[in-house]
Amino acid sequence: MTNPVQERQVKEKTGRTVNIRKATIRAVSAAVMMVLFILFFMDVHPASTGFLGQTMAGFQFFPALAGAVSGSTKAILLFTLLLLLSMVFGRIYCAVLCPLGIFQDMMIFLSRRYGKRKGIYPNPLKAYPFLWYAILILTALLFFAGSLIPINVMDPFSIFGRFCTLLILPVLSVMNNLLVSIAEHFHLFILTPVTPGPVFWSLFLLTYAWLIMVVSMAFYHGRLYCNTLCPVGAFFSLFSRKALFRFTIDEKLCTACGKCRRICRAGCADPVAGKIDLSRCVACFDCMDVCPEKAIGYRATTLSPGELPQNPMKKRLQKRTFLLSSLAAGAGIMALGLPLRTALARITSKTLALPFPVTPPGSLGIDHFSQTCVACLACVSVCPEKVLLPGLTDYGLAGIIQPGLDFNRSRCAYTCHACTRVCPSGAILPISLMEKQRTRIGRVVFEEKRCLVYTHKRDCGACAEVCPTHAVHTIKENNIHHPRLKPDACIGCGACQLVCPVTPKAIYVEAARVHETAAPAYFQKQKSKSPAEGMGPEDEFPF
Amino acid sequence: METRDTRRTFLKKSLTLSTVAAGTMIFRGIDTLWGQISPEALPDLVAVKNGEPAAMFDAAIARAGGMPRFVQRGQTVVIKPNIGWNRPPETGANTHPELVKRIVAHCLDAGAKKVYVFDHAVDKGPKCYKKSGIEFAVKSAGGIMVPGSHKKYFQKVDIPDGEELKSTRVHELILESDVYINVPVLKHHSSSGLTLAMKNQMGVVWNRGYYHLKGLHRCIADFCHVRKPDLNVMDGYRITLRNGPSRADKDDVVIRKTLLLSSDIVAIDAAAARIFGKNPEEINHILYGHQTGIGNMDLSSLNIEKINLTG
Repeated sequence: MTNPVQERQVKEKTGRTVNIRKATIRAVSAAVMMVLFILFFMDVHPASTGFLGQTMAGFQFFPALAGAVSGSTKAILLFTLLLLLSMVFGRIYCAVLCPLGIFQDMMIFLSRRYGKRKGIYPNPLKAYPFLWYAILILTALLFFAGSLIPINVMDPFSIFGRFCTLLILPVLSVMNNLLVSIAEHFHLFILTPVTPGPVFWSLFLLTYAWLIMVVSMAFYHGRLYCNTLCPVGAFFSLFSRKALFRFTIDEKLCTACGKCRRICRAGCADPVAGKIDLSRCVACFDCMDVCPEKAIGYRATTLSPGELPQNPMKKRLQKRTFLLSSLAAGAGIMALGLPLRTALARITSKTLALPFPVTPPGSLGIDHFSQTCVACLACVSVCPEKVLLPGLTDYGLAGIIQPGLDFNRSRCAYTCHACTRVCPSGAILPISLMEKQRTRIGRVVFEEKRCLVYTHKRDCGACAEVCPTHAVHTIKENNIHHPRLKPDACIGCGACQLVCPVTPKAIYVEAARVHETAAPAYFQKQKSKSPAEGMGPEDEFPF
Repeated sequence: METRDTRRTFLKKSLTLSTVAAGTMIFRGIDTLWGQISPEALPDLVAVKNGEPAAMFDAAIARAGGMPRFVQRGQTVVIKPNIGWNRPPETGANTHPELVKRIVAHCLDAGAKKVYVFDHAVDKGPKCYKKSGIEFAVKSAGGIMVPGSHKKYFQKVDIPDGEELKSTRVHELILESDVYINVPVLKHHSSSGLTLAMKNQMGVVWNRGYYHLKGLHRCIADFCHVRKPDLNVMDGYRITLRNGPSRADKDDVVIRKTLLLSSDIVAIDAAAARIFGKNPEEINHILYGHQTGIGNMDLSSLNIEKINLTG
């Protein structure tokens, strides 16, 4: 049987034969994905960020899983697609779709170029399956118990998102401000200085420590992280070992030169035993290209190397049974887990921080949000107002690092719905600006006895001035403008809380546990017929 | 009704403007033509009606002695319009971009070295600059938009004469520029009744919350001790009658095609209050400004020049 995916040979115009190596194809597609991920997380342009958020970011394992469990059809389809992909091609996800995997490949590239050992790892065959699968089982169990904490911490997509949002973006804003200062020294006002978002030290240190760990593991041990700690890698390994397309060493051709063993970034090729550990193989295709004897193939096969040839019919049946049974198992877990999860979610939601965190518009409410958010912080990086900030323990046992709105630092701009367009998991559903302007994420509370208009009998009105819906407005009595509420119109944007000058705040927003639809904006109307009445005749000056 | 800016009208306008500009170069400025009015006869306040913003400003500044009276060759100018809100021009929430553009052009025509424009916006600064149309207008006239929403531009200033506001951080351009032109828009305001020239100066300080805490009207008046604008131009083209300052309903905004110009910040506010149908002393900061001698709100004692462009 010949290899169906033989190396493509392309004749150039010069007549020279050029081999396009499969590893190169893999590396280039991974690089393209990396560029897209950076465009996405760095929010280079709002249009591209929104587009990528609705397309590429959905192809991520945990976002798709969380979305699927929240009931999104799109996410169920995407998740099924990812499953089928791994059943057919192995851990292609780890090779070209996972941003953290590609990030590690960049480190491996540097290691091969500048590292002392040139990418040859000391213990290539050592595996840590116990730890790896323990993390997977823990993640799965807690997920079905209604806690996203292990996912929030371990999801590779989210980890990469946090590298961008919490580590790289602040550095970029500092660099931007430096450029602004230099330009303004020469009286050039071409750039706008930005105020970086607040730094949360615990979260910053966690992310930084994780960055050091991932970088050093990748630099010295290849894809060890993916095969020891990553629950997504562990999950896909279950399928990749029985995938349709597998990497195999043809023992008739293999001379056991050991080149594949030395280049393998996952440390899974063992030419002496004639085996490739397919559970750990991240499908980078390096070994195929490095093999001088072309002994390594990537074939649609039902045969594991070393297995005795059996009845092909029986094999095909086995394959089908495996596919069907894994699909059935997945469906079964969902069917059993979901009711359990809903029940347990009631308990986890009792551990919410007080006062309740305000969740972004489109997130339906605290429960949907905390049960779906994987904490990639894409929404935090696009929030122009820097009101959406990562929390740490705001959602109690339901999840950590998941963001919320902090109205003591900023407010949710009435003309913005940026966060609703980037969420990969559907924790924040895409809503139009018109919907957002009627979505109540919190309710205004006004305490007259703290308000200095009432206590000091003088104008302040900071809250009414900024209220986009006039839910808080002023009524003039004794030539003083008194704040009054029309709570039906309040959408909980927090503008009033932000600007209220007294401490403790006289006006503030309490989170809506479940988001509601607010009444339309409220306008005070005078009883006079003509709007310009009282302003005098149009053609005369009143002085 | 206001005409829509189609490409053709834009081209026509730019052609007219460039012809006028070329003409002024030949005649050494329209301002010198008007400059023949003797200085004693210069009015304290000019009020114009029934014209487009640029035309009304042309008429007003000419009657006030021409821009060279305020801007000398080689001076730096800072213009402070109201660009507080992420709202388009037709909402009347910000100063009319055509007016700002015309003022920039006049300053440059008078020989200004640099003309800076900024506001410490309430909404996100760069978005307000763009949405208000002012950034485009200023740049097309040759002015420079300067960011106003970052603390680094704001320098601490002591105000010994202030009653409540003893010190505050002020945008450095207000302190450094040779000429300061204040260009507010006439609007209803939910906190102060009206937002006029004195109130517009809240956009040159960093900490507005302090004003609200310490007494809005008193602090607004106190700030005038830091630096009084050399020239105030009140945009009364669109007037927000109620539900101001930012998100009024469509029928809350009326087109009144009015413009006021004065170097007396209290007088211009008093006149604007009258146009709105209010007594100036109803607005406390105008009253305080009059009492502390910042300006004169007694319109009957002022030399007011009234121009009706239709008549």
